[in-house]
Formats: sequence, C-alpha cells, structure tokens
Amino acid sequence: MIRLLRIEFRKLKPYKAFWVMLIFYTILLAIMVFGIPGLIDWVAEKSGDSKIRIFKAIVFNFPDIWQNIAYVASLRIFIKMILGLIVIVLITNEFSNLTIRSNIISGLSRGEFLTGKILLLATLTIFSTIIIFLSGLYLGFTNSSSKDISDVFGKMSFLGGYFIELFIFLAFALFIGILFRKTGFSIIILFAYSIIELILDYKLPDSFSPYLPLNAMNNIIRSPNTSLIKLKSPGFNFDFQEAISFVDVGIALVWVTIFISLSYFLLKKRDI
Amino acid sequence: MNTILSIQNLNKRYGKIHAVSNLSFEIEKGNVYGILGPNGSGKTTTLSIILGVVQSNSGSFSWFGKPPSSESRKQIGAILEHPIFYPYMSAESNLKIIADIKGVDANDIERVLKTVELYDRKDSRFKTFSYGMKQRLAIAGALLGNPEVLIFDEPTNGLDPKGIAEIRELIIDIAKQGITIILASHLLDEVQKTCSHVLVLNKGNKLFAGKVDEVLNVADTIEIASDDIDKLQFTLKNIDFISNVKSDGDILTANIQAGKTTYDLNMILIKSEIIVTHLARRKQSLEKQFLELLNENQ
Repeated sequence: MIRLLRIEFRKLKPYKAFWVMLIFYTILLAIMVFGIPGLIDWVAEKSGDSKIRIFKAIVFNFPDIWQNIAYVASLRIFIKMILGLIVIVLITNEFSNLTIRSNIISGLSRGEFLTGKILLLATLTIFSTIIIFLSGLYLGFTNSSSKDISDVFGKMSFLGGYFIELFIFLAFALFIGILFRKTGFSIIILFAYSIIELILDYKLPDSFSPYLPLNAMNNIIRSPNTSLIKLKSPGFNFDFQEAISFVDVGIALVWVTIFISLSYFLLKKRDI
Repeated sequence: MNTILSIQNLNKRYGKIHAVSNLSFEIEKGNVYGILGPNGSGKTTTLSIILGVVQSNSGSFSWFGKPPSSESRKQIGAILEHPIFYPYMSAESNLKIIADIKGVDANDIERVLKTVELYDRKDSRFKTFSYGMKQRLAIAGALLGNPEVLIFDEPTNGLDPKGIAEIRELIIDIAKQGITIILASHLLDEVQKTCSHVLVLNKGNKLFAGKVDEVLNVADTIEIASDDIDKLQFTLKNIDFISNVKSDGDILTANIQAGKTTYDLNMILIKSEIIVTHLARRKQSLEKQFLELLNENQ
C-alpha cells in the first residue's frame, strides 16, 4: 500500500500542472465556502427579505453547518468537476505517455497499478474533506450561536457522506479515463454524461431516478436548506434530509464497486 | 540446463494478421539471443507478450520455470520499442519509480547511470534528452537491480552511427558479465556482432533457431569438379569441414567451414589421389544468406 502510494507520489511531485490545478481547486473551494456569507448578504439585500438575514445567522450554526457546506462543495457539475478533471488527466497521461506500459514491464501488476490510482483518489478525497472540515470549524466557531461540543460534532456524519460521494465521483472519472484513454475525449465524456444523466433522469420514470450513477452519489447529501424552509413556512412539512441514509450510501457503493470492477476488467483484458 | 524462458505454441492475431504463429522456443541462462527478422515479423509482438503487456490468443510461456507474474517481471530488465519515461521528470526520478516498482535499493541508480554515462545529467528532465540519451536511460532502467535477463527491442533503432556503436559496445560489455540477453533486431549485422544464438522470425513463424555460427555463419560455397566425379563426391563427404555436398551436373557444390581454405581441401584431395579440374570458392555475404533464409521459407 505505502509502496504504491509512494510510486504515485513520485509521479506527481515534479508534475507542475497537477499542483497548479490542485491549488486552483483549493482556492476555489475556499472562496466558495467562505463566500457563502457574502452571497447570502447579497441575496438578502436584493430581495429585501429580512428572514434571509436570519437564515444567514443559522446557516453556519453547529451542527447544520456540516450538512450545508458539504452540500455546496459536492454540488453536481460544480467545483468537484475540477478534481474529476485532475483524475482524468493523471490516468490518461499514463496511457498517452505509455508509462503504464513501462510500469507493467518493470514489474507492477495491473491490479497494483489500479490500486495505486485508487489510493491516490482516496488521498485527494481526504485532502478535500479536510479542507471542508477546517472551513466548517472556522466558520462554525466564528458564526455559530451554539458552541457546545455535542452541536459541534453533531451531523459531522455529513463529512463522511462528503468523503464517500467525492470518492465515488472520482472513481467514476477514473473509470472514464481508463475506458477512453484519450485526455480530451474523456473530459468531454465526463461533462457530456453529467448533462445526459439529467436528461435521462427527466425522461425515465421517477422510480429509476435514484439508481442513476450521478444521482446515486449526489443523493448521499441531499438538499439541506431545512432551516430556511422551516423559517419561511413553519407549517410546511417537507421531508428534508436530517441524516445520511444507509440506503443512499448503499446504492452509491454498488456504483463504486461497478466502476472499480470494470476498470480492473478493462486493464486486465486489454493490450497496453 | 538452466531454462530462463520457455515459450510454447504462442499465437497472436490482429484481425487477419497472424502476428505470431505457433511460436515455441527456449532461452537458456547465460547466452545472448538474437531475435532476427524483418520489420513486421512478430519480434515486438512476441516480446510484448512475454513482458505481459499484450495478451496472446493461445499458447503459454513461463519465466524461470514458473507461470508469468509481476514477480517474474521484476527479475527482467527490458526495453520495448521506444524509451518510455515520464517526460517532465528527471532521469533520476524516473529511475526511482522503476526502483520502487522492482523493490530495488535506490542506491543502485548511481551505478546504472554511470554505466550508461548519464550520471552528470541525472537531474535533467527526460524531455530535454536527445534520442540517444533517452535510449541510454532506458538501458539504465533495464539494468537496475542487476536483473537475470535483459530484453532489448531494436536498441539501436533511430540512433546515429556513433550512438549505435556505443549501444552495441554496452550490450557486449553486459553480455560478458554472464547476463542472459534477448536482443530483437532486423539488422543481421547487429545480431551477428553481439549474439551467440539466433532465432529467425518471418511473418510470425520461426524459421531457424540455433547458434549464430551454425545458422548464419554457414560456410562459403565451393564449386569443385574432377574426372572421377563419384570418387570426388565420396571423398568430400568424408571430410569433416565440408558439408552439404550436392551434385550440379558435372560440378559438385558444397559448403566449406569458415577458417578452412581451398588449399586445405586440395591437400586432402591430392593425398586421396584426386586431381581436380575445377575449384572455386564463392563468398556468400551474410546479408544475402539472411535474405535467402527468408526467401526459402516464404
């Protein structure tokens, strides 16, 4: 495990484009998370609705803050796309430079090659989760009215949900890269599929909806604006997500198993 | 007998093209093998299969008496076609990846870089190298960890004459250390200069396999005639350095071993009381022999 991760890290260390993209992602993620208060102010000012200001006061309240920022950071066709692009560039480079071939010839098995990449995805996901965690702590402690330990750690399961969702998305990007092997084409497919699935979702009967892959991963963290809705229409009883559902996670885990198994199958079967 | 590689009935098809056809051969420890054949004869495909990057349609092979695995590949140093490295990484960092994969101590990198005379360029990025340097770095990568077998696929392709000479010298030096080498080439001259054994491939088929001297250094042809042609034929067949005696009308043709002259032959014939009426030696170029070898088997 450590050997495989070390090999992956050796490949990345001198790769400037990777670090530029990662820094870009980090800055964007931070701007977004820390920009939420400003955005709410702006919306409040435009709409003149005083309740939105109250909403601002509670959006960063522990424990809801974890769900709120995890939700924003994991929105589809949004910031996580940058990490998806990074993954596609990294995997397709191995094909276009033929370095996967030299890795195999040197004595890496195809399974080890894939494991190395999966460990890399996990590392990127942990990195992103840590940023969300630290941002959450900072914003929470500076804004939240309650700083009780139980509130601070409450709903932190959404960070776990964020980790799972992002990891599955990156596994999806990895699979696309392994399937198509060409950088540009794989990136187009990643974007195109994100849109195609929305159309599919619209065309297919509703019962299929939760089982589509991107839906499945996005459903882990559902729309969290519990507080705002409650605030605006107290009598409105809508079934918002209060905790991560094991069913949602289960469906998403089936997809990640499929992505990884197919990736392994492709690597195993094809000539490199 | 110490078999390093054994291939049995290997087949690979690319659509209609039969790239490797029922190929079987064995590689013994300590020899330098040349796989000789024109472009498209299946050399690279065969090497790609035994290096685990291309799947065969049927047949099997074993390394060191065991089924092929990533573990067996760690004991093989190989260059397949072009030198492949991470372009943005330095020579040293690229070799570190290979060392990590093979489980070799990173201290070995200095030795192999010095062997190929690239040590002072260890911090330069791969993409800044000339083709000859890239090829030398590939050889350094193959040498990491002192593998038991080295595989070189067209190692001098695309190099200038100086580069070619350097690489050949390097391979001959390595061979002297007793490492088993498999060298694929379409250049007969290269195989003849560096290899002890040769395997001739054409259109995926094995034409010949054996020692270079036996297969390629086939003796020159002599033409010989005498009044008593039967006696001459009988006598020639009993001379150890004469082989392949054939009657061609009034003239006999035969092969004479390298190092033996018509003078040696004539001395024996005179002692046997045979007076020759015609004796000529025809030098046969190796290049021509190789082409004949291919033509005979079309």
